[in-house]
Amino acid sequence: MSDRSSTVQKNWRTLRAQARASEAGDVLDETRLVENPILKARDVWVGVKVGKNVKPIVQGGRLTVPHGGILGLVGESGSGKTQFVRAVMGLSSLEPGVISGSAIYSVPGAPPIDVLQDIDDFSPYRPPTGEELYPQRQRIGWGWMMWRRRFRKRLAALRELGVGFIFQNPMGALNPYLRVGVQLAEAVRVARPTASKAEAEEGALHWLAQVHLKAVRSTLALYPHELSGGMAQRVMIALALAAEPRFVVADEPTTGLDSHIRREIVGLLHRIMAGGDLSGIVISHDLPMVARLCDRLTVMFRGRVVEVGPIEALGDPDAPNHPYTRELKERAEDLAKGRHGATARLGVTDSPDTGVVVAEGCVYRSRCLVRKAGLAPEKQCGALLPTLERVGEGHQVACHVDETQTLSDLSMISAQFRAGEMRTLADGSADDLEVGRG
Amino acid sequence: MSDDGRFGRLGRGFRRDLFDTVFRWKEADYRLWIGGIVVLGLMVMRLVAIGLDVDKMEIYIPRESTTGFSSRTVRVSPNCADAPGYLLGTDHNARSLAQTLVEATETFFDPALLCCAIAIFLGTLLGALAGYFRGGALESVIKLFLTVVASYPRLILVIVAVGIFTASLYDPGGNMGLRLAMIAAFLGLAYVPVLALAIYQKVGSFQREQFVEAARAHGLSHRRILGYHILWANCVPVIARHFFYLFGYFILVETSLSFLGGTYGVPASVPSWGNLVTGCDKGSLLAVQFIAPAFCIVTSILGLSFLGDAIGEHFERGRR
Repeated sequence: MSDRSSTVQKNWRTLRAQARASEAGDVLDETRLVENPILKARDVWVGVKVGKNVKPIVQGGRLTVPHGGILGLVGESGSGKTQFVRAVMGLSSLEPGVISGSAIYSVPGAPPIDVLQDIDDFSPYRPPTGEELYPQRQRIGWGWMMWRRRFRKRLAALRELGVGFIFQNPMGALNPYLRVGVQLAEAVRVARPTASKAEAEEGALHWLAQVHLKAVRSTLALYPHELSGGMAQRVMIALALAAEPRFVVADEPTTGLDSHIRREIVGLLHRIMAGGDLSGIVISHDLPMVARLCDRLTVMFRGRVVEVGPIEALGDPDAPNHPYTRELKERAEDLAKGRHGATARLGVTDSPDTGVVVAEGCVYRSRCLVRKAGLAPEKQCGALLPTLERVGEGHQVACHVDETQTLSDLSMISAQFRAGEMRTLADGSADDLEVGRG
Repeated sequence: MSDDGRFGRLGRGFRRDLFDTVFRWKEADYRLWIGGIVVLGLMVMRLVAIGLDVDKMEIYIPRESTTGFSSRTVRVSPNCADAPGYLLGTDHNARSLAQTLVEATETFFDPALLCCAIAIFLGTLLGALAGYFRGGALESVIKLFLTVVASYPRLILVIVAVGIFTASLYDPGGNMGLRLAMIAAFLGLAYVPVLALAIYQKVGSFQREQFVEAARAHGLSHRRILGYHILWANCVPVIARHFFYLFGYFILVETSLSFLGGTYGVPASVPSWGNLVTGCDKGSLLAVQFIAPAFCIVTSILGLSFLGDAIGEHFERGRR
């Protein structure tokens, strides 16, 4: 068993080694990151309106994307990844009182743009406190409309700087009543407003060729429903690239594709993102893909960022990880070994309780394996919100457990749970296992 | 590439669409056929009417000594069904009924187009704005306006508005063109809520679609998204449907008002399908003088409604 698990990790490592062979030795450290990020989002709160109240879905989120670096944003469905990035890119529907924070884009030679600048002055977001899980929305004055006007100007500046978005569901993100060529030509014209019709069409052809679509010319005349899933995803990528962005967000780019097409798309994304000075964010559940594409990793759980670190922290079994990241890694291993659902026996539910808002203490404590094994400081986990603490070079973890100390214990716990599970499965009484629901 | 030639350019694709739409009408149902024939017939009649002039049409003077005494001609004189040399006989002005029917298209055709233009312009604009900028003050104001207009009965609104206008004139029968234009304008205005709410719902449903959000993310302007991605690409069938409905509805209103007489619609001296049926009674119910204009009214309205329905069902479903 350990043999196979180490193979998987070795694969990740080799992938990383291949991917980054060209820039060997160019290790991104925290200081360089902080000094020179293309995107720095700090303390971002996002909520959804529930009547007069706001249900928080992203709580104090933070992102740092270095120039020319790709950030992997990992977390389960409903953990607020997409909403976080949408808010940071100014794509959320802006209701007053549901978003706050700052998201600064800076490119050398241009003034930095804070998309959410001054939002707190007109749409104050109150984080939940104590018993009150859904805080009330704040009342706003006329300043909000003025703020929105400035917000639109800032978004226009951001588009000039060049941002692209690869959507989760390409079929839905393409207009079903317009030909692919028309939509691509339109995107080309956004980047180059002076382009003539023929030039825009040429541009569309160029970008389709860039995403390695066969039969490029005939694809231009197709409607989105005439495309296959892989083709649609390629067109979507071409559409994002046609705006000639410096910063690209790929929101689960391989969801709903079969494994072969997925590998092709990942290869394509890798070629696009690794070459040139394109920076970006990849949002995904697919850990091997994240490991291949990204330089940095941010792990979210229930709206909170629980770990920030170099991508090596994902592949390295000896790296000090947040227990949730560890769980993710084990799940990926299980998937690779074809042991579906095995982690459910580790006290992990298959349906995440997305509706739960944890106002106090650690968000992960109800599922935490370390806590179940009795190794966590119970009092702190229940009452104190863990902050991101430095555990390595450019690596931060939000956990009350000192990971570097209990590392060997952790792998032991995992092995114990696994052994227990195996024995019970052999007994044939899998149902009465400890499966903690929430 | 092998399939380079097939649809090499985008223009080719458009031509393919047009071809498909025109030549795959075998799959279309009878409503498209009937509606198409009716619209074609109306257009031909309107074109022929350009060459006709009411004042120059000859008036039939029956020579009773040669034709003999007919009980029907006595009762509906001067509506003469068997006037020699006249296709359908004569109308109440003793002119050729066939020519009058054709000439009568002039009375409603152009005002109907004006009516549709007004309704489509205002309805699309208001509906699209209210649907696109949901949840704002603009939406509230527009919906209030639409509700106020919609709360008036359409026909009564037209009658009252035109009546007030007519009463203030020295010579009410004098400027028929202006009066018809007013009928058209008020009917168009009265129809605005219907079209606007249809567009409002359509645009509102697209607001939640991901492609609108994607277009915004790609940096397209609101005008471009609303005008091209939503209205042009997705709402043209709705507008076309309401165009045909309203065209038929205008014919109905114009003929109704003309039936009521010169106070509301056009006077008897001006040919209209509506005033051709005036004076019909129990005895002459089946006379060709009344059957023919009634047939014209019913067929055209029915055909236009059929066409509107069929367009709605065929094209609003989407290309799937």
